[in-house]
Amino acid sequence: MDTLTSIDDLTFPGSLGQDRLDGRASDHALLEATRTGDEDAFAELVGRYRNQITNYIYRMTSDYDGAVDLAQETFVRVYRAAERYQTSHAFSTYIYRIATNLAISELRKRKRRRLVSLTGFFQSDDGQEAREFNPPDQKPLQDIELVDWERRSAVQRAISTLPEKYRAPLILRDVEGRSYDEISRILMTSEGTVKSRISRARGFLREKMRAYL
Amino acid sequence: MKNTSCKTIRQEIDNTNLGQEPDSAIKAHLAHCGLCLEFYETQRKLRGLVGSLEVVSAPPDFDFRLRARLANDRIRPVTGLHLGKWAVRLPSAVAAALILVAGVLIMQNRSRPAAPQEKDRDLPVAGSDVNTQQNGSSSTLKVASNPQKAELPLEATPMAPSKIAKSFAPRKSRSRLATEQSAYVAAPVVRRQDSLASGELPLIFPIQSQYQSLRVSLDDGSGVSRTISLPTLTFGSQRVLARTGAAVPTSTKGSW
Repeated sequence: MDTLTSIDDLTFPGSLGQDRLDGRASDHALLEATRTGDEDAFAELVGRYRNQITNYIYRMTSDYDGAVDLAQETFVRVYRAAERYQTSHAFSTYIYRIATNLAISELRKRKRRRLVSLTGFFQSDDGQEAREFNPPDQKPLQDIELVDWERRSAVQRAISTLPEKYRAPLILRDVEGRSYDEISRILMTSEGTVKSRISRARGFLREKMRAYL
Repeated sequence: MKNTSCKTIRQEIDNTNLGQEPDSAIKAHLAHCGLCLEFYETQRKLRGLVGSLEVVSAPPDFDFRLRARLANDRIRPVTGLHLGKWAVRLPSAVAAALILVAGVLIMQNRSRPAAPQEKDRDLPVAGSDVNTQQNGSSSTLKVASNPQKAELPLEATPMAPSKIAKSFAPRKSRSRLATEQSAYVAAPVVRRQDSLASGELPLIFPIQSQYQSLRVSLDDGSGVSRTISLPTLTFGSQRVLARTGAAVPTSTKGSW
């Protein structure tokens, strides 16, 4: 094992990195300042999380404009509820929980508005929730650049077909890179349930992405 | 046993972090289990694909729009109640309830028969405060709906203004309405002088001609006033004309 030569060696790859180490205290301090009316503190907080929240909600809803609106709504709710915020939880957990609830509400609204697909529905193996049938893409591979773009689009399409209860933990784990513990606190469910749902979600994705794997 | 072992190994593979090397136990199993090795490779590629999704950024005007939205919330403060979708519907429901109450009051006032106490009495203008003391002895007209009941009054019975004010006092939940104010000037009560103990119920009863029609003066708020003349409801009664023989005229000037 290599010896640590810098504090940067403790960063987590593909995540907030250094910000996460000292960001916890800073996020709380910023929110505390927001309570007293410091708008610059809130602006700083927005600057830290706006891209992550927008990206997370976009991955959940597959709608960029809608994701931006919901991300703004997330920050509005954080602002309004600043006085009720308890520092026992990490701020990231708090804001992601709000974003998750908003995204899931949006997905459910869409489900009520959506027309019934003529391709029919598949029941999931546990029979608890139906998801739309979306056969794996069998088209042959073409140019590499197009393949790369098509592959990413296919991944997003595949994720968008997952039920909400599988979609959220998968995105938080494989896209956002969050730990099981944090995911369980965001989704307010047990770690075992989180692992089970992630495993199931990956199974669904494997079926749909067979041509790309 | 083997299936249990493969299931456990796959769970372990699922739980490892992306990019992290599997531990020696997993490696040993993968060395002799082709299915699990295929699973491991597929899983690694899949997680690599999902993890390679580019981060979508917020638009450049995100902060500006958010500030505008928060400023808008400050102008129109949000109530402590998180009513959600009901927040839009509740004020409409309250407005509808108020309109309904107003409609009921208007209907009640119109159905109440009016008999004037004195000639050419000016009723309060809509929107102005009413002083019941100005009307002096106000009275109410009662007409029995069930003729078998001995409740056909023919004589005016003065009621105390306080009672009238109380009976017509708006409830706390109601808003002040013009129709309530006109009800302060009640029609006279006409009671029968003759006793009804005999059980004889006249089909008609006289109403003194001095009880002229009720006149309501309305102001539309722009200085234009109109007078409505509402005739006395008789329900089978007969106007007793004065000896002068002149019918009680109803002035139509200035009325609709």
